Amino acid sequence: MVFASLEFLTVFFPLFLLVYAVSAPRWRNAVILLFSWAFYGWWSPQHVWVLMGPSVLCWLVGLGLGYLPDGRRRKGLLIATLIVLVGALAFFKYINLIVESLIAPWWSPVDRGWTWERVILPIGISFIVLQSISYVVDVYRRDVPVERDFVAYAAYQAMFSQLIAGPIVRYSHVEKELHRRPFDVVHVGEGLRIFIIGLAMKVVVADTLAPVVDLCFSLPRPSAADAWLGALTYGLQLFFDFAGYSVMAVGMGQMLGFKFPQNFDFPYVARSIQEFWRRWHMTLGSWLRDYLYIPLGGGRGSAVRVSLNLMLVMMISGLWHGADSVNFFLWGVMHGVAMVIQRALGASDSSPRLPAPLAWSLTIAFVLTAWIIFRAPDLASAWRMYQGQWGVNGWTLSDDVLALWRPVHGLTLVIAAVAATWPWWVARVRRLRGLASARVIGVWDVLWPAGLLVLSVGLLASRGATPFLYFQF
Amino acid sequence: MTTVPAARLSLRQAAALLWVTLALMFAFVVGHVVAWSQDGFAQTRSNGWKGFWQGEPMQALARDLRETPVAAWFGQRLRESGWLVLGDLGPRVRQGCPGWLFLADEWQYNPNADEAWRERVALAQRVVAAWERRGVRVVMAVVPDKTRIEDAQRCGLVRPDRLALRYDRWLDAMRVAGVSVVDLRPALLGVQRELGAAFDRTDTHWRWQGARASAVAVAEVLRSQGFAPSDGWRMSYSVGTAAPRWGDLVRLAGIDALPPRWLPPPDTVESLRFDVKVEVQGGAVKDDALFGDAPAAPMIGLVGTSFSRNAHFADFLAWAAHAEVANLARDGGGFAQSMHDAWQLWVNDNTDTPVRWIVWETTERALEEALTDAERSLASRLAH
Repeated sequence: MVFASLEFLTVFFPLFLLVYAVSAPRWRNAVILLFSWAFYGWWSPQHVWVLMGPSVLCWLVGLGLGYLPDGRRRKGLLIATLIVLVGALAFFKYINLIVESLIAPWWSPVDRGWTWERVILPIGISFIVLQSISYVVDVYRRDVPVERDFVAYAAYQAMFSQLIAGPIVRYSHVEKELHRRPFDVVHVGEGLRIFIIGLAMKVVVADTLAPVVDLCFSLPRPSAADAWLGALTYGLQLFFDFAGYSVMAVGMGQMLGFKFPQNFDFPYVARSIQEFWRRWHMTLGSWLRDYLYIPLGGGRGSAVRVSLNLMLVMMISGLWHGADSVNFFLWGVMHGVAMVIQRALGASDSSPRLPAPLAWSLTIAFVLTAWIIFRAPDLASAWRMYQGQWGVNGWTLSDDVLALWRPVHGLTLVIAAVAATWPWWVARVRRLRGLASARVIGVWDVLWPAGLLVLSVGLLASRGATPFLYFQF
Repeated sequence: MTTVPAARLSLRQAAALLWVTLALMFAFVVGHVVAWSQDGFAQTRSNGWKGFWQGEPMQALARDLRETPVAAWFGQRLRESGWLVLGDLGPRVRQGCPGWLFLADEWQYNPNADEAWRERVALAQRVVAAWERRGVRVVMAVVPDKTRIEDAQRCGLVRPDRLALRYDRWLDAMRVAGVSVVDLRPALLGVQRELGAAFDRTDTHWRWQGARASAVAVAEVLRSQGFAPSDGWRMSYSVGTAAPRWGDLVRLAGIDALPPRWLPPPDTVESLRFDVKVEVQGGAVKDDALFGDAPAAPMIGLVGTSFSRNAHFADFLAWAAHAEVANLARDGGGFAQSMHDAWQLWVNDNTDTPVRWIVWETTERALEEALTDAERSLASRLAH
C-alpha cells in the first residue's frame, strides 16, 4: 500500500484513526503495531515476516545487550547481530547481481538440474535494516535505554508512517513519546495540514512530471534540451516524491503525537556539495555520519585518510540504493569525488571561494548531472544522456518531447521550481501575508490545505496510485 | 528553515480542517463499502486463503475504489477544471486547430517499438498462412492515423517526424511477408479533399464518407484477388437527417458532462439506413431488411477494431462487395485481438468456418504498441 492511494486515504487511514482515537492510551502502541503489520502486508501478507523478524531479533538483542556487562560477549552479540542484519540486506539487494553477473557466466545451476528464481527485494528493507542497526548500536553505546516492552519497540520499528521510505527514525527520537504522547484536535489538525502538503508534493508535482522524465530518459538520441530537461524534471520529481513522502510521514507522526525528524531542508538552494548533503535525505546523512563516518575517524586524521573516509561513505551510500546496476555505486562515487575536491580546495559554507550565484549554479548543475546516472536504467542509457547534454544529438527539444508536452507540465515545472527554492521567496510571501487581516489569513490557512486535499484526491481518482520512487530501496 | 512548515493552526482552524477532511473521507467510505462488496468479497470467497496470502482481495479493492461514483466524480471535475482553466484535455487527448481533437496514442513513443514491430510482422505472416491452409484468404486494411490524414488540422500540434514513413514501412513489410494489404490513404485523402474532412472532429473515428471510401477500396482489392460477390445480393443505403454529436474524444477527455457552450463544437452526423435486396430465382427482387431472410451464409469475415464498428464500415463493405459480412470486430481490438476471437470461434471451437475471405482491419497506431496477452496467445497457438 502507498500513502498516495485511495485505499490508504479513504479506507485504511480513517479506519486506523478511528480505532486509535477510541482506544485507551495503553493500547495505542498495539493499534499502531497491528495496523502497521497490515499496512506492510497489504499487497502480500505472506511477506510480513520480513518486518516481524527484525523486530523480534533486535528487541531480544536489546534485552541481551542491556543484561550483559561490558566485555567480549556483549561486543560479540552486537557484532553477530550486525552481521545478520547487514547480511540479510546484502542478500536481498545483491544476490541477483552476484548470481547473474558473477556466478552464472562460469557455473550454470541449470546445467546441474537446479533452477534459479530471482529473489524479490522486500519493500523498505533498506530502511528497516538501518533503523534496526541504529537501535542495537545505540543500546550498545548506552545512548538509549533498553526498550523492555516488545509492543512499544515493535510499534516503533513497524510504524507505517515511516516504515517504507523513511525518514530513518532512531529510537532516541521517539523514546519518550512511545510511552506518553498527546492526541488532541490541534495536533491532529496540524499534522493533517503537514500531511496534505506532503501528499500534494507527491501527487500534484512529482506524478505530473513523471511522464516527461520517463520520455526523456527513454529517447534513443536525446538532444541537449531533452537531456537537461530530463535531468531537471527528474531532480524535481525525485525531490517532491521523496520529500513529499517524508513530509507525509512527519505529518502522520504529528497526528499521533510523535515528532519525527525532518528529512529535507530545501536541498536545491545549496551552494556546495557538502551543503547539499546537509539538506538532502538528512536522516540518512546523519545515520552514515554517526554509524560509519565517525567510527572510521570522520574528519580527524590526514587529508588522505579523511578523503578515503568520505569516498567510502559515499560509495556505501550509493550501494545502499541498490546494485541491480553499477549506476548507483557510480553516483555515490561522483558525489564522493565532488566532496573530496571541495574539501581539497578549502571551500566551505563559512568561507566560500566563489560568488553565491556561481557556487549555486555549479552545485545544481553537478547535482542534476549526477541524477542522470542515478535514474538511468543502465550505463548505456546514462551515457546517451550525457552525450545528449553536450549536444552530440543536437540542441533543440525533440519532436517526441514537444508532442508530449502539455500546459500542465509547464505550470507544474514553474510551481516545482519555486517551491524547491522556497527560502528565496518566503520573505516576499510574508510581506504579502502581512497586508491581509488576521481573519482573512485565518480562513486562508484552512482553505488552501483543504483545496490541496481536494486537488490531490481528484488527481488520484483520475490516475490511480503510483508508488513512491524510494520504495525500490 | 525546513521543508515542513512550523505549527501555526489555532484550535478552531485545526477543527475546521478536520471536519472538511472527515466529510470528504465519509463521502468515499459509503461508495467503498459498495465497491468492496462487489468485487473484493467475491474474489476472497472464490480464491480462499491462497489468494489472500498473495494480496488478491486487497488488489481487487484498490481497483474497485478507482471505479466508485465518488472517485469518478472527482476525476471528472478535475478534468473539466483542467480544460476550462488551462485548455488541457488530459494525457490522451489533444486539440490541434480549434475544435479538432486528436488521440495522443497515435504518436506515443514506445522504446520497444522495433521489437513490437518485428513481432507483429511475424504474427501477421503466421496468421495469414494459417488461414490459407484452411482455404481462407486474408486481406489486411490499415486505418491511417487521424493526424496523418487531417494534417492541416493539427495547427501547433506536433506529430514526430519518425512517424512520417511508418505507414509505408508497414505496407512494404506486409508485401515482403506475402500478406495482401490495402493502402487506405488515397481513399481517405480523396474524401478529405472533396468534403474537407475524412474523420470526425471530436471523434477518434472516420466519418461515414471516410468509411465508405475505405470500404470501396477494400472491396476493389478483394475483387482483384479473386473474390466473387454473391449472386443477386445487393445492399442499398439512404442518408437521413443530420444531428449534432460529440465524439468519443470528448468523453475520453472527461469533459462530456460540461454544458455544450463550454465544449468544442460538435460534429454533424447523418443517420443512415441500409437495406438488403435479394434477387430470387425467376428474377423477382425481394426487398429485405438488414437482418431479415438472408440468402446463403456470410461470405466475408471482418475482424478489427472500433473502426469496423463505427460509421457503418461493415455495412459499406457489404454494400461495396455485394456480400454479407460477419463482423467480429471489437472496440479496443488493437492489432489482433479480434483475430484471436475469430480463430477461437472458427477453428478452436471446431465450428465450420463460414467464410472464405477475411478482411483484417487494424489501425496504424497499433503497429508499434506492445503485443497484448491475446496476441501472444494467438502467436503461440499458431506456432504449433
